[in-house]
Order: sequence, then structure tokens, then C-alpha cells
Amino acid sequence: MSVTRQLDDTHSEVKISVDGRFDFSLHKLFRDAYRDLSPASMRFIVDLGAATYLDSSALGMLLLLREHAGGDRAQVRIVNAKGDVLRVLKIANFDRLFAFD
Amino acid sequence: MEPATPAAAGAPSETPRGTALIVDDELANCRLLARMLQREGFRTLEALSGEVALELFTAERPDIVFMDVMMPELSGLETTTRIKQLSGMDFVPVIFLTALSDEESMTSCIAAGGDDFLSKPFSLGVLKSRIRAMERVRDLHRRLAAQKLALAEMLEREHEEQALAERVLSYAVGNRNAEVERLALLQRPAALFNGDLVLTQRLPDGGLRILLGDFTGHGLAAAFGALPVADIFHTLTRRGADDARVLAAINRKLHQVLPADRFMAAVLVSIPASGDALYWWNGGMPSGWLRTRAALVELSSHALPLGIQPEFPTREPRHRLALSPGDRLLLMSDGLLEALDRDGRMFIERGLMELLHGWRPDEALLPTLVEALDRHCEQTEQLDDIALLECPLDAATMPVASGQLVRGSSGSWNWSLELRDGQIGNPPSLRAALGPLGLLDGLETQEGALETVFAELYANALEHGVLGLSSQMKRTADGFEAYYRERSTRLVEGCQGWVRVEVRFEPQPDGGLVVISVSDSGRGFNLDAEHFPSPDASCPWGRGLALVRGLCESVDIDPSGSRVEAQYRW
Repeated sequence: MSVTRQLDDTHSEVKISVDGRFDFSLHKLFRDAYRDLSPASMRFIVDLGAATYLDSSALGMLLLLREHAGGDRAQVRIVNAKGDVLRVLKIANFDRLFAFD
Repeated sequence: MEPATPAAAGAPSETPRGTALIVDDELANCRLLARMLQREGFRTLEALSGEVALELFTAERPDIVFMDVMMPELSGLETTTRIKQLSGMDFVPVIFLTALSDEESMTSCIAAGGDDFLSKPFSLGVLKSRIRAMERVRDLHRRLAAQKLALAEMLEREHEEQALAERVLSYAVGNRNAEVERLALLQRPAALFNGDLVLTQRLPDGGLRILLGDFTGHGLAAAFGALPVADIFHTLTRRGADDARVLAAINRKLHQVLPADRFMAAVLVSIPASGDALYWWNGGMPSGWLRTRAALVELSSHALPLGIQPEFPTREPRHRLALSPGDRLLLMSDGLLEALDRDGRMFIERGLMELLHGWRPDEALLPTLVEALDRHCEQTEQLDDIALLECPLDAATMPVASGQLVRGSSGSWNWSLELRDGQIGNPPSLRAALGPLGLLDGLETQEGALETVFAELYANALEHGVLGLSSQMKRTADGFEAYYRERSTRLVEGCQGWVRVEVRFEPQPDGGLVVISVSDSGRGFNLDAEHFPSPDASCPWGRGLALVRGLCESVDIDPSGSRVEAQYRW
């Protein structure tokens, strides 16, 4: 279980990757991955390619990221989600709030 | 493998016997010998000095060398020593041709690296037979070298195959073990293959069974009995067979498959879910130890190892010990007792017993033990496999302590579990609870969704029901953190309450129905405020039940608000 982030050279895009179970135990790590980044002109990408499980508290964390990134004006993209993780996101209708690849 | 030079003599125009190098400062001697050798089927090279001989040897790699002893500059003896260095692992016979026949000069010829000598003048007959003898030695040497190479290759392949088998075996044996939290294990194989075997499996009631076995000898022969043993152990334990039946089945199988001189010493320990007693059997293993508050109890060997007698004695007495929370179990293989230090003294004579008797209640011994073992074995080679296992026998070790399974007709089942007080913060996943019982076999495609339903319902019962947390706290990022901080604080402080879970499975014609219900000791949640929040999808709290609804055919909440039942159908 881990959260890693990669910032591009121009500081205009950040990729946050979650590995393993994405549940409440990651809430601090996940928030720390973006809280110091100013949302202005920043694109946020959440890579769930290595996430094996995602629960409702993880949905909450994604929404808090979206709020940080500017709410309805936010540019948050979720990439590589698959299997059960993608299913949970779809049931929650998160495609209305986030861009998916 | 064929030698590089065929032994059969061929036509003189070819060189079926290889190349001979003749070293003599007298040109006439060189020519004379060359003609004789050519008639014998050799290709010849002539060198009139030691220096030229070395150059030719390096360039042409002859098969045999004839060497004059007395030469100006580089002598025959010195040249021979260098030639022997140059030939390395190859055997190139050097035959000295000398007019001297005293013992001292012969000795110095051999000491310089020469293989034989001929006293001048010599007859053609003597020369021919000496050459034959040398060729025989050379061919033997070449065959040996070739065999040595082949053997090294075979050993390399063998090593690779062992490594592969080791991987397959440890996967097959270890992978089916029940995960036991806080079970500490040390396994150090002496050979690649481990003759020590550690198996753990849950009993159907949620209890725990442990087997520590030690096959006679180690390496491949020892380990191949491990597969059937693991198979029987896991299958019968999951089916709820008692200790005697498991031991009898393993004994019978090992008696069948192992040769008479091979067997397995083993210690078997079962702890029923109630956690108030421990049953043990020890056939030929070092004593196990139980550290209770009051005493250090020895579980010493009282039976024959498995696989020796055709039938396991049916009237084997059952050893029972009463357990209290905090008791700890320690099992070990004889590799630990007999581990030698640099002076050849065993660990059991050098501190093990003192460590055991100094073991205080409720204290982990394994780290101390491993440290002492490492100190004891410093700068020695490990001779036997070592296995060492320590298990605290409290609620955390028995996470599904009150799990109950009832099997119905035609594949249906009903599993229930109640977690209380200290246990409730650590619910098992469905995989951990039902997997070892075989209940998820065939449900793999639905497992992800079922896991989600179970986890969400349990989290609601725990967090809102028992702990009384309000999910509205999660409205903001800071509140979100505060919520989970509060959750862990309340759990650590020790909360009182229970969560009861029931999972029911009914096979259906083309799928199945799973009903998961969760109830808790809380006051029940306020349905309106907590679980039917505004339909705004971007609200970061109150998502759990919505998710369950999305996955399930129906979700019913008891009017009391403290029981939820979800029906999942596929």
C-alpha cells in the first residue's frame, strides 16, 4: 500500500499513483500528495493502475481532491482503473465528476 | 566423447596421430627422428632451440613433444617446465631424449615436468611402444577432462532443477497456509530443499491447527513427501476432521510413498475457536513449549514419528492443556537444538534452556532466541534445517473466534461471525475468513463485489453503530482526517460492543445469491440524516450504503437502524 506522486518539469501536471488497497488507511498519504500544490493551472491525474481495491472512503478522498482542485472547475483525471476498482467508480457515477481515460 | 586425435593409424600422407614437436639443437638428430615419426603417421615440427620450441608450441599446439636435454641457452628441462605451464589443463606428453642414463638426470627430467624418457641411441621398436603408452595416458586424460566438463554441466542443470522444484513446492505448501496474524516464523534450510515443514490452517469453527514437521535427512528426498502431507493437512482440517484422523491419514500416506528408512517427525497443535484449550500431539520432535502466566509447560514427544508404522494407533491419548489469554506457544525443529558453534557445541547445551526458563509470561521469545542463535552460530556452516515458530494464543490470533459454519443441502451454506470489544477493530476480509474454508471456490468472479459489500456494511456498523461517529464530520478535508483520527482513538481506548455478521449462500440455476447481513450493538443510526444524504454525488461522505445499493439487488435496513441486510445476486 503506498501513494506516490510525480510532478512534471513545468509544475503544471501532477500524477498521484495509488498502489494496493485504497481505503481510509491511506487518507493522510493521499492528502499529503496534493495539499501543498496550488490548484491554479495545475492538472491532477490519479493513476489507479496498481490499486487492487477501493472503498467508499477512497471515493470520499477523491472528492476531497476534486474540491481542492477547484470543484466543478477542477481538472482531475482518473487513469488505468480496472476490474473491481473501475466498477466501484462506475457505481458511484464518478464519470460525471472526473475525466476517465 | 571422442579424443581429438583418433588412435587408429591412417595413411602416411595424413596426420592421424596428430602433430609431434621435436626439440634438438642437432639438426641431424631432428631429421632422423622426424622421418621415423612421419612413418608412424605424425605430422612433425622441428625446433633447434628451446626458444623456437616455445614459439612453435604456442602457435601449433602439438599433441606430443620430444625433448633433448642438453641444449645451449634454454635447456630442455627449462623448456619443458614452460611448455607444461603453457598447456594448462591440457595434457601434452613430453618425452626426453637423453644420452645421460644416471638416476640423477632421470629424476631431474621428471621433476621438470617430463612424462617419460628415452636413452639415446634407441631403436624404432622402443620408440613406437613408448609413444603408444604416452598416447594411452593422454587419451585417458582427455576423456577424464571431457567427463569432468559434462559432470559440471549436469550439476549446473541439477541445481537449476532443484531451484525450480523448490519454488513449486514452497508455493504449493506455503501458499495454502492460513494467514495467522502475529505468528512469528523462522525457517532456514540447510540444503536448497527444506526438510522442515510448517503448515497452518483454520478449523471450520475458526480455530487454528498448526503442524511442524521434520523429514529425515534434508534436500530433495526429504522434501518430496511434503506435498501429500500438506494436501491431507489442509483438506482434512478444512473439513473439520479431528487430530487423530489427520495424523492417521498423513501416517498412512507417508508409509505408502516413503522408503522404509524415511519418515517425518511432527508436532501437531489444535486450538478450537473458543480459545480456552490446546490439544497437542508430538511424534519425535523436540519438545514444544507453552508459556502460561503460571508455568512453562513442556510438550514432549510421546509417539513414534509418522510414516513408520502402517497404521496410526487408534487409541492414541489426547493431550489437552487449558489456555488463558496471553499464553504463548513455541515450536522448534531439532536443527535449532543441534546448531553447532565454532567449537562443535550444540545450542541446547549453550544457552537455549536458560533462555527458555527465563521466558517471561506475555513476552515474545523468538527475537531473543534468534539473536542468541546467530551469536552461537557465528562463522559456522549450517548443517540441518532450522524451523522455529512462536504464536501468541489470544484474540488477535483467533480473528474469526466465533465464526460458525453450517452447510446446507445442494451446496448452500451459512457462515456467521461475532466480533466483540477488542476484536471489532480488526474484521477479517471475506477472503481471509471464507477462503480457507473453501467457501469462495467458484465465486471468484463475484469476490470483489462481495468484499466491497461486506467491508462497507461492516464499516457502517462499526463506525456509526458501535463507535457512534457521525459521517457528517467528513464534510471537509480536515473533518475527514479528524473522523479517522477519532475512529482509531476510540478503538485504541477499548470500546465495548459487538458486530455480528452473517453470510448466506444459495446456489441458483445460472449463478447464485449471497445475503450479507450485519448488525451491531449501537443505538441504531438516524436513517434520514446519515444514510439518505442529498443526492449530490460530489458530497464526500455517506457514500458507503449508496455503493452497496449500486452493487446489490436489494438492501434492507431494519427500522431500528442497527441491522442491514444486502442481497447480492448474479
